[in-house]
Amino acid sequence: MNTFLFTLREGVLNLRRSPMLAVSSVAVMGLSLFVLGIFLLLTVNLRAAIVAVQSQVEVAVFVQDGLRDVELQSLDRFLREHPGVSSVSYLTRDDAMARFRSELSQKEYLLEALEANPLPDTFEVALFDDWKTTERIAEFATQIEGMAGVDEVKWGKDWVGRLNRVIVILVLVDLFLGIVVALSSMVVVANTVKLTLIARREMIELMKMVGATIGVIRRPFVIEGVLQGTVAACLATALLVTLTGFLQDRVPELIELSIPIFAIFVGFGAFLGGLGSVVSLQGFLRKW
Amino acid sequence: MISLNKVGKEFRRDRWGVKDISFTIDKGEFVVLTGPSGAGKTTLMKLLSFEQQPSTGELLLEGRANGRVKKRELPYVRRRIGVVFQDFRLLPDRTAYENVAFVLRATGAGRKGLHRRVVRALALVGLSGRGDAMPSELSGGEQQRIGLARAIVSDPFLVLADEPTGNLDDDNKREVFKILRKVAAGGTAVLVATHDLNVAREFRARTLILDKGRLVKDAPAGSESEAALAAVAPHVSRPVRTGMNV
Ligand SMILES: Nc1ncnc2c1ncn2[C@@H]1O[C@H](COP(=O)(O)OP(=O)(O)OP(=O)(O)O)[C@@H](O)[C@H]1O
Ligand SMILES: [Mg+2]
Repeated sequence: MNTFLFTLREGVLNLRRSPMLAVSSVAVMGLSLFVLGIFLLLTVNLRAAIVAVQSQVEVAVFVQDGLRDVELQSLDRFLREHPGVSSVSYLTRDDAMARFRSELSQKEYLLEALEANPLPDTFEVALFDDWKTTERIAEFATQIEGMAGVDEVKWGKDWVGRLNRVIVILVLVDLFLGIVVALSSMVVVANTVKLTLIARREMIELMKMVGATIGVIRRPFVIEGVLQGTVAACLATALLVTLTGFLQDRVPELIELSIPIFAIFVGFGAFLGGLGSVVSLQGFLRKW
Repeated sequence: MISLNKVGKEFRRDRWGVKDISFTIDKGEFVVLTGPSGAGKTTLMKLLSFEQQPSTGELLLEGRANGRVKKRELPYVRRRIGVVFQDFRLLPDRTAYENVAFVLRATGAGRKGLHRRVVRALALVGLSGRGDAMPSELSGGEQQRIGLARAIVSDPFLVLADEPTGNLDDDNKREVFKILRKVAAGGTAVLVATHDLNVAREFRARTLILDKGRLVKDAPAGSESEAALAAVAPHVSRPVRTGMNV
């Protein structure tokens, strides 16, 4: 602990001694982190949008032709009593056709070729939010499909799956970018520290000669790297907050990155800075 | 305290920096190490400072054998040795005082007593008033005295100085030798490698003479060895060689 203040001071001095180097390294690291942040922002928002779309998912239960009222009623009761169902509305084939027509509006002539109404009677089932995952909807749909009087169950299986895949891809892109940013930041910091190491060679030799431990010799440089990483991450955070504010003026629904995410972000920057230093010191100090 | 028994350092096959060196140095002894260029003075110094390990023989410092000390214990051995450099090696970005204090700070010596110790070291080299000066504001002689203060501030038991006067004029050389002798008088073993035999002689110190890696003479303190020195190593007494100018 006696050496902590000493090493902290030397670390800060390292930065002050080569300000241009420090500035450029912080800038490059900050920009890399900024790019990562933009993708995080994008991911958070796309995810939110996808969840919003998913929450609108409805299950359409098509009923077999000529079903008797008792069967219809028992189906209706089953659906209403199901714990995942928030509301059920029944649409006769004529209602369905009327709605279809109104949706087509101008293009009603398209339906003129039809001899009879091809649409079935339908229950439109809305689910509670926690039932709107792909697995649970699928499970629900299979259960209903197996019931007497049910012809077919339809829900946005394809697009829900597709949206889920989009989320997975986004997270993968984030991960990939995270790794790229991590590597590039480390290389940048390692280079900066290497240059300061060369500039501080005399001091290092001297520290070694007077009996400083490797830990103490290393620490100023690690502190230097951590400071660079922290400053870079704070810079990136400031840019992100500004950017988010700017975009929110135009798109108010935009979700901003939360404070815990920023905290992790800054921690990530500090960690990368420190790691970069350690990496570049490893080769340098091994010689003794 | 310091004992060498048939110590040798082989750089490459059959290229020995020093060979078969045996001697001991006691607490408080002031010893001059001399010999022609390439004789092995620096090599011996580096063995004594544990910068290099002997290839043969045994070198003991306070009971610790060079070559058998674990790497992570080396810093603690080094804290017991003060080193003075020919080219001073002061850190240019801090004051004389901070250069001296650096040793204590870097080794975590604790803040208690730090100021007192630095002040005492500066006083011993006669630079009490110059603590605030930057190295660039000091003369070469003064810079080396700061170097001396730095070497002794941690109360080492051995001070090693490899040509500490190589870059200084005669008056400053004498001053440096005087300080080193004073340090020795305080109980620290002092070993000075030098070409400046003329100055060294004035101090009538024990003198070790190396030639071609061998210890060819160990003349005790106060001995009338001038003729012997001249006979054994006539090339030693040549004029000051030109070193790095600071
Ligand atoms: N790292 C090394 N590798 C190989 N040979 C070396 C090495 N260091 C020193 N030598 C050789 O060992 C011998 C002794 O060198 P050393 O530097 O100890 O001499 P010196 O007495 O200090 O000379 P000077 O008075 O010029 O400083 C020389 O022949 C030198 O070339
Ligand atoms: Mg030498």
